[in-house]
Amino acid sequence: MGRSPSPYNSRLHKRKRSQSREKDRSRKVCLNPSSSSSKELRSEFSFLDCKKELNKIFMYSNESNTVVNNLEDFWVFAAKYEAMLKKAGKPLIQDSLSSHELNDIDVPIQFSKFHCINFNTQIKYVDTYSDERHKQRMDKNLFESFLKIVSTYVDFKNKEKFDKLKKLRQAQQDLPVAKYRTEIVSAVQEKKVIIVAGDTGCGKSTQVPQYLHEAGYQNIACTQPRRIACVSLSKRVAYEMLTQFESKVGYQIRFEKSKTADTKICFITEGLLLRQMSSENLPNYDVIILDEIHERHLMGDFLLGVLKCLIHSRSDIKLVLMSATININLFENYFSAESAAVIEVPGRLFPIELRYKPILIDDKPTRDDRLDPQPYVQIMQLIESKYPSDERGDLLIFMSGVQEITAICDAAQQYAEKTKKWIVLPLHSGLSLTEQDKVFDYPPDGVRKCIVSTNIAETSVTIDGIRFVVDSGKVKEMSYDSTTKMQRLKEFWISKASADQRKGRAGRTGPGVCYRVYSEQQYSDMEQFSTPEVSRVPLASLLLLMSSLGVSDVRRFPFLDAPPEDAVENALLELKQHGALTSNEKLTALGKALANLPVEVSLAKAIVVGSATLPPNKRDSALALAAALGIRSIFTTRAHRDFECENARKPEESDHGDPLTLLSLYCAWLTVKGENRGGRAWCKRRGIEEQRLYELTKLAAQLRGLLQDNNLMETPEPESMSSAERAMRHGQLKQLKDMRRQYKQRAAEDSKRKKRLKVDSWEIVDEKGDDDALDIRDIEFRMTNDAARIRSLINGASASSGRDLIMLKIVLCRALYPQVAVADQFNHCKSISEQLYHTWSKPFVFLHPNSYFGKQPRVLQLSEADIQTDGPPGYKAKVPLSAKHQILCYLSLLETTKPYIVNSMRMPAAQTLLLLAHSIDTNMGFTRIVCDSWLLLEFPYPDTGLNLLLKATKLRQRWDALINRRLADADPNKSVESELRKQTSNISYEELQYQLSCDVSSYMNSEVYYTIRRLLPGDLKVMYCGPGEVHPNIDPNPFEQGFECHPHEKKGGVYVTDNIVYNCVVDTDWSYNFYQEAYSLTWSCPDCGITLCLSPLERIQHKEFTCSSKRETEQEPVKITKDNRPNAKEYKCESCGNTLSLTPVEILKHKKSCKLK
Amino acid sequence: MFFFSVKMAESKAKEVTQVEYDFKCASCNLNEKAHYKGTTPPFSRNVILKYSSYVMKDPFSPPGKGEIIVLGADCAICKKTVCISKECSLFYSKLFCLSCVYDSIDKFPVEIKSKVMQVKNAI
Repeated sequence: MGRSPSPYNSRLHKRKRSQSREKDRSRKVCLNPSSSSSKELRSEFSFLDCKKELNKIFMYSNESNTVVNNLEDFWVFAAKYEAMLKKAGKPLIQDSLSSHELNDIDVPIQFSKFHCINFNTQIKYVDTYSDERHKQRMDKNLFESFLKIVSTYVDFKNKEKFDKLKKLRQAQQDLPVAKYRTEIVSAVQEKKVIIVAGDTGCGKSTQVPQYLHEAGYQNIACTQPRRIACVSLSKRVAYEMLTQFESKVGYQIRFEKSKTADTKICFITEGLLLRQMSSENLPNYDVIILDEIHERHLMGDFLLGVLKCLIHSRSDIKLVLMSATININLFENYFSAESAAVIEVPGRLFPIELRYKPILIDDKPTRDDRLDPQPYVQIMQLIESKYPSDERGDLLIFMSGVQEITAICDAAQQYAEKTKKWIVLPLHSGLSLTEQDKVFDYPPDGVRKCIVSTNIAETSVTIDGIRFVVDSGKVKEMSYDSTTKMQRLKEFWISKASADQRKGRAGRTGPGVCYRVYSEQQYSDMEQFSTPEVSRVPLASLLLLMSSLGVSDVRRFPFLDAPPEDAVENALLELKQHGALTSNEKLTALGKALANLPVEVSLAKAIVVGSATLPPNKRDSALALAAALGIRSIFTTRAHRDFECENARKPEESDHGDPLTLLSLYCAWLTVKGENRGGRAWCKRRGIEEQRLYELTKLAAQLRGLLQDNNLMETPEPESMSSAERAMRHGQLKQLKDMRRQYKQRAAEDSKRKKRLKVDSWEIVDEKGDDDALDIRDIEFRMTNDAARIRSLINGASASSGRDLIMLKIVLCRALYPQVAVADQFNHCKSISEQLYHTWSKPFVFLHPNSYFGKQPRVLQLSEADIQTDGPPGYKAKVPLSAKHQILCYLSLLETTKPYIVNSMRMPAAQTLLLLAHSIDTNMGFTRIVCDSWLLLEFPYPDTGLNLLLKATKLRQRWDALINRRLADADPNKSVESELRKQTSNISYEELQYQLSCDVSSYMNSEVYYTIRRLLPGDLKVMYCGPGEVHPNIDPNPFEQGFECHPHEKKGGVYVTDNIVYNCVVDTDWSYNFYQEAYSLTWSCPDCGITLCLSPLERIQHKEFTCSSKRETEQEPVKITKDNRPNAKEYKCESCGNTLSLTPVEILKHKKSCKLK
Repeated sequence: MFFFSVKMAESKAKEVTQVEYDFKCASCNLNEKAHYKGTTPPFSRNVILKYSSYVMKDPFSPPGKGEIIVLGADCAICKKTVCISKECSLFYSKLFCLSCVYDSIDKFPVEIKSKVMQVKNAI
């Protein structure tokens, strides 16, 4: 808006003015309406005709003011004003001759409307030249009159704004919580903990923070369970505090914050506040408000416990708990030691008529597992007949899950098409945000919205204008079985509390009706309250966070409701298996690193292991992979139903499994983004929710930042740009900022306008209009990610082949271990949907039908060519012998209709197991190896098992050392010792990583023939030789030099490393024979050429120690013959009475064979 | 660099000189922070007030737009602070609280009388 005219313009203007003056004089007589010219001319005159000139004058005034800000609005006003005067027969231009005589209270005696206006506008008159000859010209007197209209407008605007302010204050006053203001403030001043209980609509969330701020508290944190609530509340409260253009009120959520140093009230998610507690510098809050604590989320519950402890050490912090009026006693008792004050605020609820409409058994269709939508449609009919359609009020139906919603929607839609009185809208979290937002739009007159929702509309989403509620009484809830580590999505009856909450949704804007599609008896049978989340979710992340917060004994943490004991124990076990806790439950360096990352423990581990293992340019792949698995599914409900979507995704599918498919889809999307080809349409075609990909990008960036903060990843040097590039980027950014501004403006306009729904809007959405619109997320994405950044993201994240892929897979697998599954041995003769798998904790699980392997299970099966039918002579097995066995490594188990494996990836079986298993047990000849006491691998070819195990052990040690070095270097308080060590071990990370990745990939590709079999409890009973035998000491120890062998108490045998137990697995006939054979044949060392009779282990010992040391020191050759071995002893067998000269290994063998006889 | 530091100093000075008036309407209890009292509000130079009033920067518009809200003023007779709402005050060349208007209703022009009676009846 060129408020300041350029010098050129003004010069031009001056010249023109001098010209016009002459004209002025000549015209004055006839044209000046303020002179005593004809009356007609006056009445015809309108300032609107001089709009252009007057606008110019406004612009020249060089000031920002109300009129300039609302120019269009002003002219609308002026037109109305003139019309009004005309109608009243009053002159537009008033003579300024009126008397200014004042009376004794100093007010003018003669009335003028302008005396009723406080405003005087001072805008300097500037003569402007108009080339529109026929129009009236402006002059100073006219302008004076005009300014009076301006003043009137300013006054009008002022009243408008003042009324807005007053209305706002009135609305605040009218909130139920307003009456309790002083009570709340004085309670906070006097007590440490106060509980404000009030139902939705009482205003506690918006008002209490303001009350406390006005009472003098300077740093108020207010938690919310949901991110979206943080943003909307901070906006609302800032508006109410008249600081919407300041940062006094801010928010802080996972990926963004608006908090600054000025912020006095900060809305923050529960999880984030917890993480602030764990960092040493907790912001200096004087009040912490926990809102919606009745929802009993995991983080909320935990936060309560943490704060309960905190307020004992920090007397300067006040705690305010806010909940609905459910179960106040629970919280009151929990804080009884702190003598919490309870203030109950009545909600603002209109009366609700309650009707029970149970489905009678006779009404049920014969196939009773299917939901019958008829009762719901009948209620729609009932509403239609009972309530006139000009009485507004929408219908909200609560169903348990997406399938049920779809069933009801279909039936309701059919019905609605007949009557044209309904707009049916589904609402669940699987919908895209635009689809979700539709429930807030307005239906045309005489039409009601019928919103079919999950329990998301119970508390999370509040829709105004609901008059009718239909409650199915059911909810689908996730529960968690900690022993099998399986999540279960099951339908339950809701609790009384949640039934009442659902009912309450009908009475928010006026009296309402609630229909319950169950009996009153059913209601009274319901549980009082819903199960808190702490009892139905995995606890590992929480317990790790607790440990990192310094909770010394998690079992004694003062939970509001203690989680089940076995859930805690299993979670602790899981953490120990991951190496996050030591065996005596102390936090390890790895645990500390994991606790910093806001994703579940196994994914955090993938990131940390990845950052230690992967080469610098490929670290993003682990980050992106973990982020992709850490967010909600990127696929829409359409993705797996629509054949075209599936086809469109084909090129990006990876036959390695779902995680890698996700990664390659992400890379493909990034490529599209990098080429500025939008992305929304690309996603739509593939059935992907683009929002999730933005989240993925943000999460990956956040995780990268955290790794860099914690020294687990190098902060890269900022890329240098050439000046041309910089200029281009600058221009780009400017353009993007403009677009963002445009978008925001349009959004603000949109929000003012009421959005109308069309009756057929449920059918097909106009796709074109959708694509044309500005995409704010795309704009924001491009603002943070320039082309170079996207390129490096793609480079870092792609791992499609070769060593990169192998390393990424094994990193993820290491993080997810022991979450692996083996195929059922009869899978090859079963159909696709019947493919069975077994996991360590849970036998008989299925492949999820939407997963890659669920559709392509053959990829996991052995082909005829892979199976070796003629094994070594003497070896007979019922299970196939092959070098191509695969296992599945999976992210989670989920039970819906069946137990399913979700997000799985295939891995070569023996290599993965030997590298990652927590415990490996072997027989004497390394031909039978048991992993984690549930999988038996048999290696019938001589030395193959031993060599593979030895390789795996060495790799594992090198890998562990690499990770430990990374963690030790990351430790901010690293000791001088480790600094010194770092200097001595001067091999760089890159070199170590490179060597490791070469060796790991050759190891993973090693071709070894073996069988794999799952052990059942019965098998395990006879698998181990058990304690009580004499145990040979393996010295020197080729598995881990210097490792002191010690016996295993239960299985027998000895530990040769922390996780390998040697000689505890019993031999079968073939393995015994093979061992004997190996022993009796003379073996010649390939290095020194010596020919001896040695057991496989002894051969390794020779190769590792004796052979090389001999070469170095030229010691006398070790003569070992069958009868004169160094560790042989005189041994008298009790059963056969023979005295023999045997090694300890042989003694054991002899004993066994004696017993067999 | 120099320009920057001058700007900084300016903004600092502004902060220091910014006085807040606690505006409270004696009639309806509306309580707001006013940023200025007088006839020439500094935030909006085109506008001059006829009667010294309490002015706040318009909180509903972005800053720097020169938008203001005139909240009210001290009654020209009893000096009580009242807001501009027509239930609380009347503006006629000056601001009067309604009770003072009632008390000296005869001193106002007839047009005002009828207006006041309208409000009175509405209340």
